[in-house]
Amino acid sequence: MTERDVYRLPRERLGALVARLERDYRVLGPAPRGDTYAWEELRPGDPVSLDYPTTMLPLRALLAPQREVLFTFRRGDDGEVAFDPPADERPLALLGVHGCDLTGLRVLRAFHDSGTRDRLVTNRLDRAFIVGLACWVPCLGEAFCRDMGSLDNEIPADLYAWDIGDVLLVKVLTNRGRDVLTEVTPMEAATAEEVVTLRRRLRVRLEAFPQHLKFAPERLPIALEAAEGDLLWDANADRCLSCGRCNLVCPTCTCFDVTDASPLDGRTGVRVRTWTGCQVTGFSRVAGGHDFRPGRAQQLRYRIFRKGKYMPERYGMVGCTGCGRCPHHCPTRISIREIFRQVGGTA
Amino acid sequence: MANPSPAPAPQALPKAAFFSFASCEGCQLQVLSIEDQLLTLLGAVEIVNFREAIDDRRDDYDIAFIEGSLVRPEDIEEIQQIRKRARILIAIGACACLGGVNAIRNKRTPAQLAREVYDGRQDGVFKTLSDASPVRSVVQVDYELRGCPIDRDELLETLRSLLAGTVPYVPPFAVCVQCTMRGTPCMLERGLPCVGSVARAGCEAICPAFGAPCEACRGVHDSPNFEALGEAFFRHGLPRYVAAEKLQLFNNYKEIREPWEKALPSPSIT
Amino acid sequence: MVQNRMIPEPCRIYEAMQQTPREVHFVVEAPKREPFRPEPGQFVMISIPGIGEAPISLAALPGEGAAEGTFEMLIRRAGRLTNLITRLKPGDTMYVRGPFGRRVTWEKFEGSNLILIAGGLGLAPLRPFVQRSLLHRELFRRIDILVGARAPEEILFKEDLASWSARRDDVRVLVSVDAARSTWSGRIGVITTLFDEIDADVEDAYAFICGPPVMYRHCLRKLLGMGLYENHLWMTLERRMKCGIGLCGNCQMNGLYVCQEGPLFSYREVRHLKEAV
Repeated sequence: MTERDVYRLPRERLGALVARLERDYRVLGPAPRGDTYAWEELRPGDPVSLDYPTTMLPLRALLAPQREVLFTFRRGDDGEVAFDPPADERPLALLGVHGCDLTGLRVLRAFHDSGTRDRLVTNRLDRAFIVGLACWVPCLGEAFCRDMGSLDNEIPADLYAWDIGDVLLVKVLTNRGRDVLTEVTPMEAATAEEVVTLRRRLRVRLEAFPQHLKFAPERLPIALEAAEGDLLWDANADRCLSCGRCNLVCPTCTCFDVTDASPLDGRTGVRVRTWTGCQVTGFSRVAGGHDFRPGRAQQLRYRIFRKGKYMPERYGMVGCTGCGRCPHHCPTRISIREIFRQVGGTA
Repeated sequence: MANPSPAPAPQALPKAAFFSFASCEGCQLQVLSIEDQLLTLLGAVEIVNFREAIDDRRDDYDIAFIEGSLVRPEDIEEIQQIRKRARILIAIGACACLGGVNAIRNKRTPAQLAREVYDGRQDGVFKTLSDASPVRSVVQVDYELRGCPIDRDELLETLRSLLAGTVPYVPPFAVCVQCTMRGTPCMLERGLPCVGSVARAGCEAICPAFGAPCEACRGVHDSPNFEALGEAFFRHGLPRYVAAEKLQLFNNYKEIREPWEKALPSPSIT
Repeated sequence: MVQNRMIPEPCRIYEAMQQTPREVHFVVEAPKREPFRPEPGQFVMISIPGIGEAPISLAALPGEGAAEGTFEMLIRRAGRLTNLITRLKPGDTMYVRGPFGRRVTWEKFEGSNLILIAGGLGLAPLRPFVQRSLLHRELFRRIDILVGARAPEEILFKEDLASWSARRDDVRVLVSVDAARSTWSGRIGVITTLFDEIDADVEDAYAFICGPPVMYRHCLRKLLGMGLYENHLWMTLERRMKCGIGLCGNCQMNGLYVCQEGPLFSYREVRHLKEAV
């Protein structure tokens, strides 16, 4: 790493950062919820979590929410319908985003840049102020973020922080990031001792994040293609519940369903999109009931192919960040990491 | 301009009737608790028969809502009469759609039941059918509103669809979908016996959101994998038969029981 | 902010003709927000606010089979939305977005024989292909139109079939039904039985197929066996589009988005895809 543009942010100045961001943004950070963590709104004075395990829901829940109104409508007395797009929102500031979720946002950006840009999502992405946060230990046992290049990923953060104790070392990645940091700190460069500490911790960190794959993710499309007819899809799909949790917790899934809702009189209403996914029962069914991707093995293969082959081919980025959420939250622990290992055995 | 108006003209309201068979009548109470939309509801349909709410009873109705499962010989005749009169018949709640909790007894003989429940006394115990049955095992059911109890918004949404002249939407997928989207931590991971992964959604996963594992009160979804459910229980330190025990609660009517019974070891209570 | 592409436009229904007990043929005002110049094989998203939205193939294009400023669709009553749409009457409004899907231009087809094959409801999306080829009849050599239906009463666009058949000098129309009572004097048999009657030179032909999923495999095998080039064989593939603009993911077929790269594909483009046919 380079220590250029790395500044000291004493821990006690975090509140000032929140207060500064709160002027222009709706500030969110990971907060304890039951026995886990979830992204919640932060007010000045609220504690900022710098040591939290990966949230169950991926960060895209804030940028392309689970349920989102596409438009509202009103039916006039003449029967004519008027439509209203959703109102503008306050931009988001996201405080403490792990590498896997940063990669997730990058993939989301690549997805929208390669096809139709979905302005509801890209506007949120464009306007969001993002503070990345380095991880020191894997959040989940199934994580393989190092293999997928997420562990060190700093893009698209405005500021990226390493927590090395009393002080956070903060790297400036955008002009917007510099402006904000300048307002909350005197922009002192990291001391030589702090830089050495950081370098040592980064070195030690590699032991905490062993490599799981014997091949680079760039080889996934070829490896998967070779395994298309493999029995491993059936073997894994035998214990698939078609519950869809893997899709819903994935930081790079983008599929949605579109439905209308309206009160009984039908005079007003909304058209909403709701998350769905290729593992959710009924996803590939058309009117009349024909299923174009019947069977759990085909569906599972489709999910893994989308992440490891179709997405890199179409958007230039592998669709797996290595966050480990899908195996961790799968009731029967179907593991994308193990499947990648299996298909890459000879790669 | 003529547009398909979801609400019919006020002069000819369709008539709706509610009937109750073996149940706790909790679904009827759900209808009464609609509150903010109750007046809109009454502006859209005329309710001609509703024991929990009105004394008046009439037999001219278009839509019949059926609550409860069929347990007595006379229930069969009554439901057939209702079916003849109603244009649309809607089963509401787990009892009417699945047999529900009443069907727990289906694997026992009347004598066994009399022994276990009434200490062997037969006097005053009414005559029962061998099985507590869902409505669709006896007459044709047009629509089913699942859940124990039914969901008020879903009832209104179903009515809205029917009044507009089309079919209501029934989610084909697992409770896990709605549960995960809500951000509820997995019940299995907390060691609780949850069958949400085979259960039909539509409830917005309200039970897990309040800490209670899913019991599949809406039946199972369109592609349940019961072997995998056993595997999921096992991996979370729960014996496989516990999954069967949970399913038995609402899904014990013979045709509904058969698929999961084949895949999971017998529950400890039968 | 750019126009929200999920917001539909009200379009007046000019005609609603019941074709069979479950299918209605609509003539609808074309959307005006943007120029509406669809190509054969494209589709629109149709909705009723409060009920939902569904993809529907275009069955006639403005200025070709349909009058300028209008388009046509054949809608089958098959679900929540179409139950209601099929009850709309002239003067009512439906809500429209589109056209969507790949635009395949026709220069490459000129000078060749055309074989147009439709099964069941597939005649609706195939109709613009027929109409365009007849509109520019001089650009093509032989034209064979092959139509299959399950039963005589399920044959769609009977008037069109009659008028196309009437041009017996330059168009051949062959109709077959899977099964029929004795009153039916036409051909009986699955659609591929008609292929033996094609007398155009298949090696110099383009074929277009629209039909139910089961039909494709048989048609493809037979046509390829007859010597048709893989990239001369075109087909429309039905999927459940929810947005039409490559976002919702419902229509994905291996790595392709049917609403973007299709629904009209050449066989060469999809032959290696396990999820295609």
